[in-house]
Amino acid sequence: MALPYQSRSRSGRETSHSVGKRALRRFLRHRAAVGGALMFSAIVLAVLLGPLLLRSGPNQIHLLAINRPPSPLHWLGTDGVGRDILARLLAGGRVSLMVGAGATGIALLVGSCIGSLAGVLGGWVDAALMRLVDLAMTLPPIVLLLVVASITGPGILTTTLVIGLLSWPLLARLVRARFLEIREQDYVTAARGLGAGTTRIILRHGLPNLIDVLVVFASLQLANAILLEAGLSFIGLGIPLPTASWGNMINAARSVVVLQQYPWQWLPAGIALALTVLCVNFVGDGLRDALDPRSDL
Amino acid sequence: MGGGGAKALPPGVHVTVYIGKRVLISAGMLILISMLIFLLLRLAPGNPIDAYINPSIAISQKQLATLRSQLGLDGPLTTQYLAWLGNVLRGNFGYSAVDFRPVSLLIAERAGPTLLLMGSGILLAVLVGTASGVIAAVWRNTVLDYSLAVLAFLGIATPAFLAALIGMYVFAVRLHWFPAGGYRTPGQPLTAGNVAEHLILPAVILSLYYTATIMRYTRAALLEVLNLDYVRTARAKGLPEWLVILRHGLRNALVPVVTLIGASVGSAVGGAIFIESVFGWPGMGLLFIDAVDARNYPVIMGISLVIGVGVLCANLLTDVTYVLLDPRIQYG
Repeated sequence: MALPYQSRSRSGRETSHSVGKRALRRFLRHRAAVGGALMFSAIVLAVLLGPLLLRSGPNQIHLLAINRPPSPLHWLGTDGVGRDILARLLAGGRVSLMVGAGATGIALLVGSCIGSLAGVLGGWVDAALMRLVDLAMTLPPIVLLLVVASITGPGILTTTLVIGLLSWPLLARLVRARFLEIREQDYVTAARGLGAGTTRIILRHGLPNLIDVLVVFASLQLANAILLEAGLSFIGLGIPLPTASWGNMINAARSVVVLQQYPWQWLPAGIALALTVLCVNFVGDGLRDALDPRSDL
Repeated sequence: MGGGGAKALPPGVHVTVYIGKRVLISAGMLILISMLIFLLLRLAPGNPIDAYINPSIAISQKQLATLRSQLGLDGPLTTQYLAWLGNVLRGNFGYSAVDFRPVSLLIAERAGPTLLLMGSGILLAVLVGTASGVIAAVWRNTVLDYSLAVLAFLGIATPAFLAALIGMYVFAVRLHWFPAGGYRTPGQPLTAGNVAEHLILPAVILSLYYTATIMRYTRAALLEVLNLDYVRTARAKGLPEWLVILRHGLRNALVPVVTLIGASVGSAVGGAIFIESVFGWPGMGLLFIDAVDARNYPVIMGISLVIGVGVLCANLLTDVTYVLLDPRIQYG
């Protein structure tokens, strides 16, 4: 299989540059991906800057405006204790995206470490690590997540950690497969012959060849992590109130009264969640097509 | 999305040997899962003994020690694990920490509704998913294909609990087409029609995600197959296009789709957990959520184990079916 990135020498720089350019061009041709990227940037901007522009904070209580429908004063209405839904939506978005990004970062780190070790070392280390991966992939992630979350309890940090530490197996498998290919390449044999150790081979020769796997995994895992956080918070095991998150805002609809009579209290968070995940998925698809060396044909 | 990575057999390996090997691997996996679940829940904060004593009654250290040894909680972890495993193998999953009923009984009560919900959801997804996949492939790159693609992306991006809430709000609360939850109308005799009425909405919502994935997969597989030589031959023979697509195309395109269905069972469990919880469907998912809420560890352990067994069986079945279906395998 063709290896897309080999920017080792100074003369290789130009090829690497054009590989990046080619990928960018392919990405830009993917209309859904570009649309998704624009929309996602808009969501991130709104979530980051929005709270600075609003008059009410996410936890500020307006006792004279409880369960109000959308109005010029509160664009998305207020909830059962008189908090502004728009403010909570934006603040909740911050938390949801932050947890998603943090969990994705953890999964990237753990997955690429374990995958590279298994792929480079081989032998019993590989066998043991891959059994661990199989084990973690047998139980549905949400079941394992609920079991672990029932032990650790709710909280922003624990939720991020739990999601991150349960999401690495797929990446480990992908990274290992890529390393099994790289291991057989002449330049790795040459590097070994020159006395390069495991760490150097992983960092210098492995990682640059993994960028496409890592980028695609990161984008799709971000969508996944956001969904898992929302699921946990919806059950009441993720982000504890009063901190807002999209999941625990949707949780309000578990009350029949809210579900039936105050749709503005839960629908916006639901729409924001689905829209974000949709955009991130589109971007991930576009990245996969753009970075796949075979899709050039 | 468990180990659905079925591969074609290497040449010369007999099917029974392959199946035997898969069974052994699954059994090993099952033991590892049981260890994982046991360890996780023994690491949980709080002592299992706390569930058995009334905190308002004073209890001496000596009594505590007696109770501990009576319950087998004083031995090393390996002994405790083996004792637990032995009980599980004899069908004794322990007792619920909330109402002290046997966990096996609780699970048995809840298994039926869950199997009904998941079975009808997956069946629906397979039927609608393959049908719409064929439609998308036949009319590829038309408005119809694009609209189906958009729907599929929406289906994949919407988490089960959100779909369940929206479905409940639109079809039960606003339109009154279906009851808003539960398994049967209380006070009325339990009839199949009554259960079906309650089943439709949650089953359709559970199927959405899998319909979407199966559709995308069928479309891709069919398009790939339709470019192969034997399909061109069939067309050249003068077969009508629909016959070419159904007999030559779909039959072979469906082989990889079978793998997908098997691999979906694991994640369908996740969806079912949320949907049961939203709709108050009295299945294992609802029991699981309630147990997680109440930190009812014996029930959590029992259900996780049953789910693990179910997913492993589904994966095993998928691998075996795939090998039996793939026309390229060698009988050596």
